[in-house]
Amino acid sequence: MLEANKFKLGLFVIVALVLLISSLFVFGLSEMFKTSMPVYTVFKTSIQGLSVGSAVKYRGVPVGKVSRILVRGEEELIIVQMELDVSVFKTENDRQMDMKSLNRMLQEQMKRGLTCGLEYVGITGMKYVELDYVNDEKNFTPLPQPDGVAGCYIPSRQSMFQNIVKMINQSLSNIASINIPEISRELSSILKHTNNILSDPKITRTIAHLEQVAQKLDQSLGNVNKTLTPKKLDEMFNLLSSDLRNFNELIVQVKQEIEAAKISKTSEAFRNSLNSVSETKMAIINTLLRMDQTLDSITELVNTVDDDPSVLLRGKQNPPLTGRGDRIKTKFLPSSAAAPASGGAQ
Amino acid sequence: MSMPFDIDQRMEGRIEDVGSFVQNIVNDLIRMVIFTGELTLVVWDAVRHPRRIRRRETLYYMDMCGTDAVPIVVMICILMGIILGFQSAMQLQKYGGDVFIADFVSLVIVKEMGPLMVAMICTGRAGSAFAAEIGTMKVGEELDALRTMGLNPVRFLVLPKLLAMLLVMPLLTVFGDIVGIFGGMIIAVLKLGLPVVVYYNRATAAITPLAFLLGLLKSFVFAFIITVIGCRRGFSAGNDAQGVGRAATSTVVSAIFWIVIADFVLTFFYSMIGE
Repeated sequence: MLEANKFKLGLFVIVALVLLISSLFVFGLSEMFKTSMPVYTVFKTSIQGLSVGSAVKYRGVPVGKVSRILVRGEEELIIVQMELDVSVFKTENDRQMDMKSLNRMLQEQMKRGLTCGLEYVGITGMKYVELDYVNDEKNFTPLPQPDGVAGCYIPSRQSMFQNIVKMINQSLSNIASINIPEISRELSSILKHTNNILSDPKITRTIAHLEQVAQKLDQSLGNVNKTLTPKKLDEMFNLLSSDLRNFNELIVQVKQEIEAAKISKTSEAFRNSLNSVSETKMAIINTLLRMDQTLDSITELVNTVDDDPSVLLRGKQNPPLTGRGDRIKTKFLPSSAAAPASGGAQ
Repeated sequence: MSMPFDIDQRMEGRIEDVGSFVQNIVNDLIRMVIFTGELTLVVWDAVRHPRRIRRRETLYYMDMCGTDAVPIVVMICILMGIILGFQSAMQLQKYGGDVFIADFVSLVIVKEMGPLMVAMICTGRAGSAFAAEIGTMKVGEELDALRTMGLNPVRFLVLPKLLAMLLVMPLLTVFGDIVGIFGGMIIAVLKLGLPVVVYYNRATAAITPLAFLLGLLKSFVFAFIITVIGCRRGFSAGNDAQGVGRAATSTVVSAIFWIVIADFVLTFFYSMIGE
């Protein structure tokens, strides 16, 4: 009478057991088979928000969990023990790290400033341990390693929030060191002097003048505004633009005419003409000099004939050349031109 | 002049009512303790002589209370997960804590709502059925017949039911937990746009194996409460059809009450061990 549907029951039990076992593995039973490395750190400040089971992250990557929190009242220390999941850490060749190599790696990283800090998990107030490097390694003094705790010691650092609080405290102490009574006294004396200056009748008069000037300026601006109506301004702009257009056209025309005039060729021809004029001028000067010499010679001849008419019959008696013609020759003729002139006279 | 006398009489009647109510509760408790003692002896005897366990009946009740309850457990628990997810999403969204929906839903389902909802369903299905079955047998004087034949009705009738409930209720709770978490995931993905992987990672990180097992331990306790109360109410049912109905109703009310009390006590103890 009481017969169970054995297939249905068997299926139910098998599925339920499979779900139970797989759920247990998914929810963390598999961690029992993982290799973990014990590490610990020490805090001297409050670790409010951190609890057993809180995450341990290396620059944001989950690498383990907090396994135990101890308090050493005499030393005022809070020791936080953690378990790092060794399987998370890999070598350069993407191989699995073992405990020894992980320990060595942590020791090396600690020399570069690897420390433990507490960071907030969102808005809940819960915290996790963040493994990261200190920015100011020179000013960082780690807490001494406590005795009797198993595992690798990683020193702790102050969190960003604690740093902010420290900076605020420092700023407040700086503000507190300012001599406010002295400053207020000086300020009140400055104000008194300023009042005295402002109550000076000259300043009052100046201000009154300034006001008048401002009023006049205002009126002038009003007049300008009345005069320069938008319509007029438009007209002016139109005129200006048309003038500019004309000017532009003029420039274009001038340019074309200059191009048409062939100034370079004209100037070359002009230069050649000038050269020929200059040569002609030199030739005229030479001709004039020669005529002058000729006139001198004629004058000398006339004088000589006048003094001694027999010269015409006897010829010249080699007189020394000290007459006016020599003077003219040395004065006007270059040395090269003088020689043929004197030769010609003889 | 007769008024003070009436007031005194009425007051007296009320005090008598309260007294009889308390007396009933105490008597019921005493009978329940006696019945539990009797059942413990039977269980101990079954542990010593496992062959005496009525396997066929045990399998029948496992099928009835376990396999047949899977659809309703799945439906109720997935809806519970969706409701929890929806409520938490509305609150967490205000503070930008969308991702914590996974933590909230999975922890609440595994620690509290999963075992509790499965217990409520089993109370309605199995507890009342046990009370009605035994009550009907009482009306038909089958219990007297068993005694006359020298058979212990507790060993004969209650032990298979208890074993079946102790075996299937944790398994039903496993179903309830998983579909409840899945219900929360539906809301997280559809309403908050949370990726499935993120929800899965957060949920698996939030739940510890111990929390999961402690939730299942609760369902063991609830299974014991449901069976004991259901069977006890059946044995003490009136010798008529109404008595059977009253026994079934009383089973549901009492079982739910004692389940909540047990849940409170267990949660208190769990909090002491940090879970």
